[in-house]
Amino acid sequence: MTDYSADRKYTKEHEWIAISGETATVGVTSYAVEQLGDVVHLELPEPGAQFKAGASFGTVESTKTVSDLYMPADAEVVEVNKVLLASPEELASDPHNKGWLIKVKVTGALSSSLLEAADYQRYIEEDTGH
Amino acid sequence: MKRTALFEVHEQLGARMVPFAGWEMPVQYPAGLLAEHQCVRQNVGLFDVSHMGEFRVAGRGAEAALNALLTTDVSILSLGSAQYSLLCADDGGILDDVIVYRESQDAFLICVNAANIEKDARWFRERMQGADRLFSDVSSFYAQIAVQGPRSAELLAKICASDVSRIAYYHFTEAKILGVPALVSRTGYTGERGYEIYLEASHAPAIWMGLLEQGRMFGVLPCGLGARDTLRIEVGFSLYGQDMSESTHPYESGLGWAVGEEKAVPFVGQEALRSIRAKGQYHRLTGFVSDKGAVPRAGAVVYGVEEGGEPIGVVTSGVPSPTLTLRIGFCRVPETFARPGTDLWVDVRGKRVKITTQHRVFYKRGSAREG
Repeated sequence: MTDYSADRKYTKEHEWIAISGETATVGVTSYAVEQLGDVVHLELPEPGAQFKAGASFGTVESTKTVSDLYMPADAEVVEVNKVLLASPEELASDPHNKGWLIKVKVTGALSSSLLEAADYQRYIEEDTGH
Repeated sequence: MKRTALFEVHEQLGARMVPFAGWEMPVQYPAGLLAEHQCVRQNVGLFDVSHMGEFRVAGRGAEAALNALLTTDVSILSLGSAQYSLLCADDGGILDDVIVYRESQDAFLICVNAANIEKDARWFRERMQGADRLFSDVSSFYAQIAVQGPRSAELLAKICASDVSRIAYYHFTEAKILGVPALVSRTGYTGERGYEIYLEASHAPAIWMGLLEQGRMFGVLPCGLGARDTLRIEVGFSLYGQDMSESTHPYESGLGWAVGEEKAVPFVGQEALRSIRAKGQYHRLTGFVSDKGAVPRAGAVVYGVEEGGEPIGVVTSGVPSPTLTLRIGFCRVPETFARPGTDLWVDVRGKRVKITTQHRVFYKRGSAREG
């Protein structure tokens, strides 16, 4: 089982947010990627777009399903991973680093249900029944 | 939800299970959809299709009774042969697509879609002459395993007591598989050489594991509904409930060929179908491709122009092709838009994606009819 790094927080919808001062990077976890299967398409917002915590900021599409991506904090999009948009199938290879989805400026509150690494680990263990 | 006799085996193999037509079925195993798909095209894959239904129509008058309900002429079926057929309603709408097997002069086995078992059984019981005596629903007796791929005959040769490799396409025989009596039919839903094995449900786990073990040298993989869907779309096969339904008739579903217009005996829906055919101007089911991007999926609305305009049709099936760079599928649109090479636009989550129509068969090198 992957170790989930303590340098970031996690959501129950399997996003991660790594905060550094006023800015943050957002992505999806390796658990999410494993559940999705082959990723065929990503829809991400434009820089400047603003979202409230918990709002859907895009979608990740696999061969069988389309899933919403939820913003873990009130934020404004600053940068979008264009390399990944062009080759969404690359998400699986490194979802926690090179596979970052968006960089944001945190403009307000973080989602109240963010999990620490250990709690997220426990959450997914319960989810899979392992 | 219902479970087939192979449910525990699928769990042991690490399958991801999903609901399908009221059954808990494997959508893919750990190897993944792409690997499973390619395995069927290049080697051999196994599918649990035990959720499908089976009816038997047998006894004096079975042929005539059946012939009055199906669109094809079953009187031409010889012993040991099978045909694809349609069950239509009085208005010509499609109730189900089925495969009919002639087991003897007066006995037929019919394989029906899982989602339609109860509906079809009710239909047969209400509308077939002599149903009380002739009709039985034997779905719970049978499990069904599909063995599909260019190496499927070699695999079966290892475990069948008799030589099944010489069964012709759309023919079947009875054979013992690892000692278990089975009906082995040379049919399938993948476009590759393949077999569908009907056997008593209690024997399914042993036969499945036997196939996996004996198939190791051929690179066999268990395959789920995900691969089943991409395989059948690639070769232009329709799925009931998506590409056709009670509100579509055969001519707008690419299935006009399955309507026995020359059939001498009347069948349910015949009048309506003749009238529909004569009137013409119906929609067509056509194939489409689109580039890397959002996938146009079943239910997505089709437009004739890139911006504005009125809806002209709908996507009935759509998937990323297993090479994951093209999207392929079928859509139902008016005849003028269905001509190959027509650009259309599909609304996918608020944005329009361009598709180009083409013939429904995308992959032409399948081995289904070889040998």
